Amino acid sequence: MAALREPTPGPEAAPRPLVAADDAAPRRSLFWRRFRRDRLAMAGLGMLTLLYLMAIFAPVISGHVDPNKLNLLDALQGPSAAHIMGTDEYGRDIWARIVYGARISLSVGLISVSIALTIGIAIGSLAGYFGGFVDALLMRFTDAVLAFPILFILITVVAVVGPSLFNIFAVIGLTAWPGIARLVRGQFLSLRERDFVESARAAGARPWRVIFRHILPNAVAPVIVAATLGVAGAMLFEAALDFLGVGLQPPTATWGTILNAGQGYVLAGDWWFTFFPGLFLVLAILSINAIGDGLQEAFNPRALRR
Amino acid sequence: MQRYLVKRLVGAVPLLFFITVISFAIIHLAPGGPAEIYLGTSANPESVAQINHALGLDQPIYLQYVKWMFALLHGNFGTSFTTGQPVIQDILQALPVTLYLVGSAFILGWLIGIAVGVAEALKPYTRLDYLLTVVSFVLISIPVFYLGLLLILFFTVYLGWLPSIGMVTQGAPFSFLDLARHMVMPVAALTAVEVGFRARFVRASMLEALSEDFIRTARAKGLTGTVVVYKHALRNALLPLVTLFGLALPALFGGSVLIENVFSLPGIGRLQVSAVFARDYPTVMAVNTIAAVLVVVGNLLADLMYGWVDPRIRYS
Repeated sequence: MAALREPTPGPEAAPRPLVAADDAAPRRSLFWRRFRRDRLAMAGLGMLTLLYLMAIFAPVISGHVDPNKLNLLDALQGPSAAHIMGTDEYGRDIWARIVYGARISLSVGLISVSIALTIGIAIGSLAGYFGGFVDALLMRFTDAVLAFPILFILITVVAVVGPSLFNIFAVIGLTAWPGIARLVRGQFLSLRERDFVESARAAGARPWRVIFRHILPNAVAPVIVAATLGVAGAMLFEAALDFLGVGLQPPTATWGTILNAGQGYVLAGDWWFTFFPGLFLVLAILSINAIGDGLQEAFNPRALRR
Repeated sequence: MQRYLVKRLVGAVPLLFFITVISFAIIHLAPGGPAEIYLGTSANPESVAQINHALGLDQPIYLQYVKWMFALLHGNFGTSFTTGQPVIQDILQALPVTLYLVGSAFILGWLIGIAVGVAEALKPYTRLDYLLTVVSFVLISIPVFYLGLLLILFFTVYLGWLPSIGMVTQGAPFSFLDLARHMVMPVAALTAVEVGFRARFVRASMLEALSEDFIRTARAKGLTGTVVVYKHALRNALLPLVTLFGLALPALFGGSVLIENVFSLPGIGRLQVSAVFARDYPTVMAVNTIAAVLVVVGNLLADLMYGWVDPRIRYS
């Protein structure tokens, strides 16, 4: 397979002097070969795919069990053939709740990170491209947000604006961008003095064109890595808010709300109530971190593992 | 040096101003004030207005902020809506718990992280390295509150060895052993995550340092392995890590909030969560402000430390 993807300098060699992407094709194929060799990253990718499939086909996977169906006679049952991961305090099937909960727990990362990417790239690009006063102002702002213990502000904001799905996605996204902004700015600082940017500017390209067409495409790799790890971070924050009770409210099933409910039954010895939802949270975060690591190494093989 | 310190402290002022304005605005502009929480949703509008008037919440928000700031500059965080006590009392009671948790996890996390990272870097790509790498990888992927719950399930419920609630046994005379038995699991959970992060950084940094020319020179001139590793390589490897001191703090405080709630420890994280539920504005503002100040101070200390470990840095 890899041999078929070897770079072919055919149509790519057409004269497009202002775009510095002439070596993109070989880099991409090399990238995939490196990524596929990374067993940890591939395992992560496989695991995450399974988790997403589980969320998408939740009705089938849960065996058409309603995650919100109360059955007080079956409350707090340990794992058995009927309930492979036991039942909660209302007799609801924990496996079904985990499967349906995956839908929320797995979307929060994607949506929040999309928000964070948009803001982070915008602020980082502006600061890095224009420099000077704009840069100083924007980076002051970025550092202020970065310096804040995010969980404190998340708790405050979510409790105040109300724990709806939309609010939680938005609030996590609105606080997760500073890292990306700093990264993008750094890339811009090192790229904006390069010859191909200079020549684009000399040819009369407007700032937004230079930013989007010439600089950003070259800054993609580290941003993708940061965004991937950001997905895990957002998922963690969402679960933490749910766990503290300020996030999504029962009876909504998310991995965090199940953990929140289960916490009260830990000392009673009902281990399945917390063990299983947390396990899925760990699996998801572990997979994403492995993928992020693999991406980083594949993009930049000389960089050592952090 | 002194000029640098002054400059940094002055530079932190707009930052803290910004953070307090944002927190204040978010809290006060949202619907559903403390009166609604106390009286329930069916409360009649007159009683709500009465309470709001008594708490000063019927004034324009900028005026409320100015008053709050004015009081703060006189060292007054206001009166808690829930306890009726000065907020500073609650804070002073809760802060040591959090500082103790964060401080222990910070120090232990670095010490163990350095040890693990160096062990990995000295024998890279061996079985030991892979094992430790995977372990740190798992540690950074475990939510700290889940790790706390797992520890309780194992050490409290299954083995019955350790208590899982509070700082000390209620009603029992204080003993250091009792305190230690209560704190070992919370500190361990918080430390474990730290170790994962630190070990990964130390390993990478150490590998890089070990491949430098001056290491080869040191070995070539006949220095023993230990001297080369600890005096030449480790020192240089730790330099870039000092900048992480400050960056790690917000996450550690966040972890402390979660751990305090898992183990029912009376720190500022738990104070924050209960205050938020009760819409206890003065307490929420105080906790947010204190948390921000702690992070700013931590960053400043980290920068000063950087100059201390790397004499090439000059403050200006």
